[in-house]
Amino acid sequence: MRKCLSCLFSFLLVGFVSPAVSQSADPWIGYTASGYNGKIQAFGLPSLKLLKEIPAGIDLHGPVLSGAPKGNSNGIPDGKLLYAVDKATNKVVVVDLAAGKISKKMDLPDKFGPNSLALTPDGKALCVAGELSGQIAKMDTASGKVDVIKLPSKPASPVDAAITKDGKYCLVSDYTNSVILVVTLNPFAVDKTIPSGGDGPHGIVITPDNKFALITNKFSANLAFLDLVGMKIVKTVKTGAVPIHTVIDSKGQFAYQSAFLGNVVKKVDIAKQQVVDTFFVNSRPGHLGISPDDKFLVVLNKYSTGLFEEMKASVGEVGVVNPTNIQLIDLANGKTLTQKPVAGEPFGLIMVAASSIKGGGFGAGQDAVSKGRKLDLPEKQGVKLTYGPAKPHKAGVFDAAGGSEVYLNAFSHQFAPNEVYLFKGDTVKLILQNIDEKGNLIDNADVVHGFAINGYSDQTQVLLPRGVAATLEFKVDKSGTFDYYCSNWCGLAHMEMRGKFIVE
Amino acid sequence: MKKNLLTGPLLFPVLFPVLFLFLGLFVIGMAGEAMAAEKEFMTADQFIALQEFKGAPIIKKGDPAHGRKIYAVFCTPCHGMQGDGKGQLSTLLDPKPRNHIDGKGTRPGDGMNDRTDDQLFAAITKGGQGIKKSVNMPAWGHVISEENRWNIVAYMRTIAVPAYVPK
Repeated sequence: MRKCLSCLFSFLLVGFVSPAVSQSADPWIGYTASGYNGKIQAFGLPSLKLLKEIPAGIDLHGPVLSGAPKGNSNGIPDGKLLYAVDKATNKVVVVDLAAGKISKKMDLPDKFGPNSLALTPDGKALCVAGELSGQIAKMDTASGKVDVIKLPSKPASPVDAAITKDGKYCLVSDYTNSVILVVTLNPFAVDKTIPSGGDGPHGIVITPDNKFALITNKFSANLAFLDLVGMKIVKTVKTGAVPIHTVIDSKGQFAYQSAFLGNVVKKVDIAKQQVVDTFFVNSRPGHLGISPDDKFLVVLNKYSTGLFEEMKASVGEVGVVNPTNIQLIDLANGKTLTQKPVAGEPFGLIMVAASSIKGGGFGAGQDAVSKGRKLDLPEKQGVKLTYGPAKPHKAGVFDAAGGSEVYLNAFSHQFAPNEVYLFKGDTVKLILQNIDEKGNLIDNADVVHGFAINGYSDQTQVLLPRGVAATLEFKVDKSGTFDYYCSNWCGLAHMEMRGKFIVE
Repeated sequence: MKKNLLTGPLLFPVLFPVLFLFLGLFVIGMAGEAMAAEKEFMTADQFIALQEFKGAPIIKKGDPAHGRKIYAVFCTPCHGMQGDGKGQLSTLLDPKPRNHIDGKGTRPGDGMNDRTDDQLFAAITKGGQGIKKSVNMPAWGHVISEENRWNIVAYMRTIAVPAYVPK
């Protein structure tokens, strides 16, 4: 019956919505930076036609646009530059939007592990949250010069960053210690450390009037109002189960917060500080976007369980990766306007007026994914990758001819072992197996773990659908301690799925 | 004859009502499905209920109520929602996850109540590898704050049967 409904809706959408909203009529261009395929993607909105893909790295997060440090709630994009961070390679990627090309890549410190970034209103500096290293960086956008704050708490996980509209502070959510770090940009230093109003602060966004930072506390199911004058939490609003991110409309009237486990988006009246509506989505929302005219909400759903499964990509003929999807909700009535499958794990779709992009290098517009597609992973260099079915095997490091074999099990939500000790010069065969039979507290069958070692051997990133073993073979060529992490959102404790690759 | 009846005089009085009945049931079914989809998979209250601490503190260090919040998210996939070692991953792991309720143990000196607070904290922090036990137990020191690791210890002390008596 559900399939019947899907068919009916698909028919209605294909039959009526698509022709009515052709690519040429799209008033907005939406940019995402995508995890696991490492691409910048440009979509026409509201048609959701893919206009452009720019291979830019391995595991991209962000993006932010010049002129609008954090989307439409904080200025109007000028259509000139896009910045994104690469969590796997510790780089900031800069895209010239008119040319539709990467203009430069700038280095963050080794092992930095960036998860998010924010841009000052004058466009001169970026504030970057280094989740894996527990550091925060300020980068000069012209010279690439970097200042770093190493947080005293060990561990610390700076997950999201937002800059106040006056450009004075960068607010960073430290997810592990449940605090908000108030960082002055000049001088670059932690000014205050404020309890976040709950556990696991994730998304952070500033209201357009610069009065509040809205904090999404993932494990306390709330939205916390941080008063930017008093610099303290003045109100927490109970929202949905496992909320991840929040966006605010251009007038600062409503905030919209995704609840991953609740499978909903909660609409919060900012003045009344209360939930006023609930939008049901499909399925497992993470990042959100909102059109600059406040007409529609963009929901980036992590999974497409029961939807678009014909668009799956095979993984070594033993597993499948379903597409993620983008769902557009009409904010006039809360109805779904359209929903389309996409490749990669897109982060933070930010919209800019199509008229302000001079050129853009756009194609005619096409569906983002199609039947029979190949898995969209960046090419490996110096690393041999093969896939096979997962087979039960004791996890751990074992001696092998010329080096070591490492059996590393991935499950919801950890790697076993999450410390791997090796010797420089060894050749390692890393057998990564997803041993999950079901997700943690969710019923989605298409949960896929990822794996990447930050800054190691050009790239080690793979995707691990349930029942799949991926084998990576490479030379252990750098000594030190490197973080490995799950590079594809796999559930409520995805951020904790991390380990140490220790080479002596 | 039957065919004639259905297509003839019985068409309106019999077949149409039956068709309408089926159509009605179909529409109700569809609506039911649509309504079922329009339901929060889990509400904030339901999630918070999973994290609720119902016991009483036993040791002085750490906050067991906060420990339960952390335990409910990170520990339960293996150790079970009640701490009995029967989490959803337990059947896939060898050796099996520890039963945190088992205060006495199956062998003398092997119960949860035989462990010191520091030993529990070390196991959580360093993982199985760090204390020469199962590699399947991750080193949570990389991603859980020291304060919350002590909160977990404080919570674990409250669930053992027989009850843990501080030494």
